[in-house]
Amino acid sequence: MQESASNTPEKEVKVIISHRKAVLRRLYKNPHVVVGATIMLIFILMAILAPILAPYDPFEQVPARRLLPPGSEHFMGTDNLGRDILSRLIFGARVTLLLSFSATFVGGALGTLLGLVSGYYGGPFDSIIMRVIDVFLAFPGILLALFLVTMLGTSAMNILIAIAFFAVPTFARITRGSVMSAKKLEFIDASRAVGATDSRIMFVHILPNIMTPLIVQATLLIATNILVIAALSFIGVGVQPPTPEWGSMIEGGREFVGRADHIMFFPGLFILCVVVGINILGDGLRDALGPKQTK
Amino acid sequence: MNELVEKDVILEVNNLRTSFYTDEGEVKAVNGISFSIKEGSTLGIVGESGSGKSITSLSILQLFAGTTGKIIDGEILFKGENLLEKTHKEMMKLRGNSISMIFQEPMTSLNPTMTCGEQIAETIRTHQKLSKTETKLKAIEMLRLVGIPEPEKRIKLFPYQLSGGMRQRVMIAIALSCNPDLLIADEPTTALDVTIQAQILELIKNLQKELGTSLIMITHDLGVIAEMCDFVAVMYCGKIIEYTDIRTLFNSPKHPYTVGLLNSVPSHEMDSDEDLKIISGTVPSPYDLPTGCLFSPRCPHAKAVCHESMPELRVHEDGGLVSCFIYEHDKWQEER
Amino acid sequence: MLVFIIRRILQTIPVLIGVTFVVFIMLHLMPGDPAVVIGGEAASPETLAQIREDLGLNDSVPVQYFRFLSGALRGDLGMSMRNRDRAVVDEIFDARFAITVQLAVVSTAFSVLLGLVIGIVSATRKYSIADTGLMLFALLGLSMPNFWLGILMMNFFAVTLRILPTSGWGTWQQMIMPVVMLGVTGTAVIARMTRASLLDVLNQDYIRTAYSKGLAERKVIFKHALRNALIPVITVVGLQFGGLLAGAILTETVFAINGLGRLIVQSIANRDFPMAQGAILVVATLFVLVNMIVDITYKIVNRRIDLN
Repeated sequence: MQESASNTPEKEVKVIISHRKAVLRRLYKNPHVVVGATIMLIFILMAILAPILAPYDPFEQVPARRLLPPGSEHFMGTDNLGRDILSRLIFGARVTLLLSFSATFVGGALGTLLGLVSGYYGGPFDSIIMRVIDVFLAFPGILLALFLVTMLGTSAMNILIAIAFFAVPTFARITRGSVMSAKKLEFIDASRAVGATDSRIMFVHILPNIMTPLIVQATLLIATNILVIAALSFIGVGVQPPTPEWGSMIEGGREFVGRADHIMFFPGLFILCVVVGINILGDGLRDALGPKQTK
Repeated sequence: MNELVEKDVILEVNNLRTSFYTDEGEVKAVNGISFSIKEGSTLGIVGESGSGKSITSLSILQLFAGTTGKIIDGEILFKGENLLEKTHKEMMKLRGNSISMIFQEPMTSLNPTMTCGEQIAETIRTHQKLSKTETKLKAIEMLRLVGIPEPEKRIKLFPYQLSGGMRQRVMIAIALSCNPDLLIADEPTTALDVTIQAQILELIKNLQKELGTSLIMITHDLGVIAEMCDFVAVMYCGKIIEYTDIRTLFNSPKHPYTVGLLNSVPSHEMDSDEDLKIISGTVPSPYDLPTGCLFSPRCPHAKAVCHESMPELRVHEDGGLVSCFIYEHDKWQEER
Repeated sequence: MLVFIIRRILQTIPVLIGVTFVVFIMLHLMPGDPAVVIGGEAASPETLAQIREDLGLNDSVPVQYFRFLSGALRGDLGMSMRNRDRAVVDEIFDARFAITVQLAVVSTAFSVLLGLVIGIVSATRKYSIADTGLMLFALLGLSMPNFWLGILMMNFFAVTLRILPTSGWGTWQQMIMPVVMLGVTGTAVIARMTRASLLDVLNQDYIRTAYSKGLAERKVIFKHALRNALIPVITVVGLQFGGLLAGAILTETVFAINGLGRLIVQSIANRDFPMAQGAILVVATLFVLVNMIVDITYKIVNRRIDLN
């Protein structure tokens, strides 16, 4: 039955359609991809257009308007210093998205490079890299980031480094695994036979073929990073006030819980929404780009 | 052949239709087929992958859990009772007990986390009220029956510790452990080495004789058909296009597709100077079936009429059934 | 199998040594003089000299590392900078270690139980309303900043309803909110993993074989499918446990639980670096050991790997 299952007419049809077209088709036909990408785009636009969208100056403190509940003038209320929460949230998207995207990109690129070289050459170099990576993987979750920020100090750049660092081991591992299996493919031998250099084989032949899991991983990592950034700010080692940042806004609202819940409620809601969006997108990409699964 | 005619029909399938539902639409995997098996005899169902032969076998036991497969029409009479009218519970009682099945992939058809003994015992326990020791003894006996040496030791082994041939023997032991009246073997030897294939076929044949089981042999391999079967149904795109006894099939195949199939396999029974070539083209997509005869796009003899309407399965003068206009002389001659 | 277990245990040793090195070097990678970093800009030369003396900063770095490593092996992680009579090891192991491990273990148990139930229900009722609802729930759990959830719960159950205590650890009432907060991500991950794994297994040939034997659906799922489906889930549980150790930092902060996580945060805030180093080292070591155990368990359970 294995044979007949793998030869269901459904699949034969799929093979006929050209690969690229099929991928694109699967992307825009996948409701997860569409919904997730839309949510993410909304937040990106919000970050870009923050000065236009924000009704108030996010830093302006109006003592007379402290702790106002959500109302017609302040849609999401004001905080203990009389700042407009909605405006701070809109500007906060800039900090969070910029940090999480760039950290994912930097860490992802570095990890991919390490994994590519390590998996391609193998040998003692590979062993050393992998042992070092094992060491860093021994620090679970935000511990490593917390650790690095403590070491380096809490500037935005250091937070970026810390979070990017966090991505390196995972990417290196995934890339290395894919490279090792891609290395065995015949077309790699073929290109070597016609005299391609190692770097050409790595970047032109192998890398494009292993992008799918990396793209999915990067997407999910952006989501994780948003949570990590917020968590670091929450425990006081992340983005420092008065910069509007969602995690530190939750921390700031903590002592007013019971009196002015909205201060901490809305930042959490924003985090939840953007992370849900990115996770949906990640799920969709995995389904749409990944190996076709049986339904 | 005559002695078989005397016996009762154990399974009769009438106008069976099974469909799968995918994003692209409905796939009529089995599209109105009928056949029957007499007690103790062997029916072969032959066809390429995608012809619906495996789906036919799954339809008999209604093994569609986890898929979108659904029987939409027809009847399956087992000992005169329509299986399609049975409740879930009644079907459960039949499966593995009166009708059992062997699958193609011995590597993946056994549960990797259970010992072989457990997997045989499970079937026995499900259908028979035996004590623990009796069940174990029965499992050992079944392993011995399928020719596994030292069965007392082997029952403790996990599937990964056995070779493909051994695993298929274990599958056969599971399938026969409750003395079924009907055994359905779905490509039981396709995944095995050639030498092992012969052994497994021999084993199935001997056990069938010994236990008097009726057998449906599903395969794409005409060699297996020649070896095992009394009757053959040739399937193409969810339909039976030729249905006859084994001798007629090999001596004078009727349908151009059958002729093509026979011709594509080197066979000592065939004249070497026969003029037919390997079947050209590919099996059509189920989402885009040709109009008229399903084989017409690939048929070397196709005429206008073949592209217009589907020939019915008719009785040929030698007793077999065939669905081809060549044998409907009135229509065929008109064309000329 | 025995060879694998021994090899896996031996592999852990260089990793642990690497971990001690990273934790050790933390102090030396900080920009500036470690003594100034610890003592603060305003510290007097005497204080700085004292700090250097206490931490042995006057020796060369390799000597210092060797001292740190051999100390760690003997169970000596130095003295707290804040309270000079308090050994780091005592502070960690007197009560805090046990509290954090309890928190992590109970949360893991909670995540595994709830996650499995959700995953199984979802997979067996694929595409039903229950499945959609549960998976939405899992998605929310996965995407939620859990400290936010913790504060919301605290506000609702402890402040508004007054049915649960706001903070602390020990009684079962005190455990509920921290365990939920800490376990929510793990629950979501395990639920999604279980569902995916079970759906995958339900498509396997041996499941059809099981049905063909005449087994009832319940038996097929629990006896045949689940056994196989849980194998990949084991790995996730191990990783989750590590995540929980790190997550405890947030949970303990929100609910004022005096465990290792809060110790790390407080030590960092107080610039008590030997204490922070010690606590981080203990958490990382625990994580490495748990992963080792999980790997070995996985290997034992997944006997199929032997062949391939």
